[in-house]
Amino acid sequence: MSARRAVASLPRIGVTIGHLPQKLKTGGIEPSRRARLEVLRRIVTRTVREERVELKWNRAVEARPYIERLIQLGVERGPLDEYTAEMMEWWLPEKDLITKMHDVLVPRFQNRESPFTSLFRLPPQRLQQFIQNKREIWKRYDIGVLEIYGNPFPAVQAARLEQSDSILDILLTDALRNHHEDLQEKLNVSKSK
Amino acid sequence: MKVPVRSLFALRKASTAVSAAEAIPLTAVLSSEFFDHIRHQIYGDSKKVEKVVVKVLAEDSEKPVLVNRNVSTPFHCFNHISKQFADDAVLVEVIPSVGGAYFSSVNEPIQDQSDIRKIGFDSIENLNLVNEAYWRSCSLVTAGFLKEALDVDVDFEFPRGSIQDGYFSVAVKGLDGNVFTPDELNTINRFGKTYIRESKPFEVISLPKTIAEESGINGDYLIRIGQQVFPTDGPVISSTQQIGRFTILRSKLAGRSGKKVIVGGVSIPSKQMTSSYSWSLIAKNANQKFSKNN
Repeated sequence: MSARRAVASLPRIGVTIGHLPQKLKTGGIEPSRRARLEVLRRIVTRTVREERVELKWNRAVEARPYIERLIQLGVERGPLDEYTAEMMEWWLPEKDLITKMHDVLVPRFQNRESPFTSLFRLPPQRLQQFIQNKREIWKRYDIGVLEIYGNPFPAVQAARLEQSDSILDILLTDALRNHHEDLQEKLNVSKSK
Repeated sequence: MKVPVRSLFALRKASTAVSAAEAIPLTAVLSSEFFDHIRHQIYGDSKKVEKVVVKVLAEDSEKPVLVNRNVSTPFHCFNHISKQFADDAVLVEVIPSVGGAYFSSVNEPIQDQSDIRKIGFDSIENLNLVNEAYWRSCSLVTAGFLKEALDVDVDFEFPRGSIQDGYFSVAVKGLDGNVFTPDELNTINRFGKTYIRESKPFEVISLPKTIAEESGINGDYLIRIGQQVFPTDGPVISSTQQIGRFTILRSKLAGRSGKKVIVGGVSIPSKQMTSSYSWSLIAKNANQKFSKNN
């Protein structure tokens, strides 16, 4: 089955696809038209293996729809489908990951709708880029955390704690109550007039 | 920032020709040198260092730390975990090897081998203690910068207040019944913001009863913020860095014939961020409540 027909038979993936293709630096990879895909393949492979990865923000944004589509292919069409097998083989060159995809990840999302991944933005970090003539070159990077749902790591975002006794909540609750009372009073006065 | 407030009040002082006639016994005593003297009296010579092991209890780990007895504070111990961990600590629960557990300020020297646990603004347990300490600290900071800003000798009293009141207050003695005008309040608020931004630590000494009685101090703790020293009756926060939005609302006379001026304000911790709109509601509510209460 051609890629166009296979993709048309699938539902839309549940993540935003950027209208502008992100620029991905492909240093270290032989320059070619596929160098960009090679970068994405490495990210997808790493994400499937580790289930949570920290990347440059633009790489994380770009790689996310590919991971989503790959998991969706596994969920919707199963391991016996020719096109799915071809895609798995290309995107996951390490064979144990194909097994992991079909035996671990796909069953996890059988009864669940897309999205299967989440993306968090971390504060920018200043990281060393390279050293040139003993001079350190540093650069600010936007960092994204890309993860597959149901991973074994602690949550990136802490669960919101019950903080009704915090100073802000006590003061704000009181202020809002009095504000509403004032408004109600004004309303009653204007009605009686 | 410092000059305008001084000159403002000095001008008013000259124009109204008032003299500070009230007796201010404690101001002369509570100086920075006096604080050092009391610290030396309680904790001994800091040149003689004795080591103790303090265990820092974190959420799912514990770390033993070797510190200097009567010199190091829980803040120093928390710094062994991380700077952020130390900066987040508002109070500390001390579980000594002998005796019962108690709560103390983060900058109070450790006197013996003990386990310590951080309490922050995000703690679930003991949040009322944190709130009380924060409110107390706000009053002390207000007193601290008023004392630095004003050109007259003033003394302070700290009326007991709670968060539920909606505002904190400080009674100022020595102003001869002169309340602050809105312009003066603006200048004071600007000065206060600069003062808080300097991240001044609250240095704390726990006063034994005998020394407190000898020195005529009415309080369980002696606090030093910058160069200003005040007695207080409970633990305080670690530094002015933990104070977020802060405003002095207004001042009024205490009672009908009193010469004491009560200054009221409201504040929220820097960790508890809010929008300008919410803050304006809080400040307005606090102002109304402060004006209504006698």
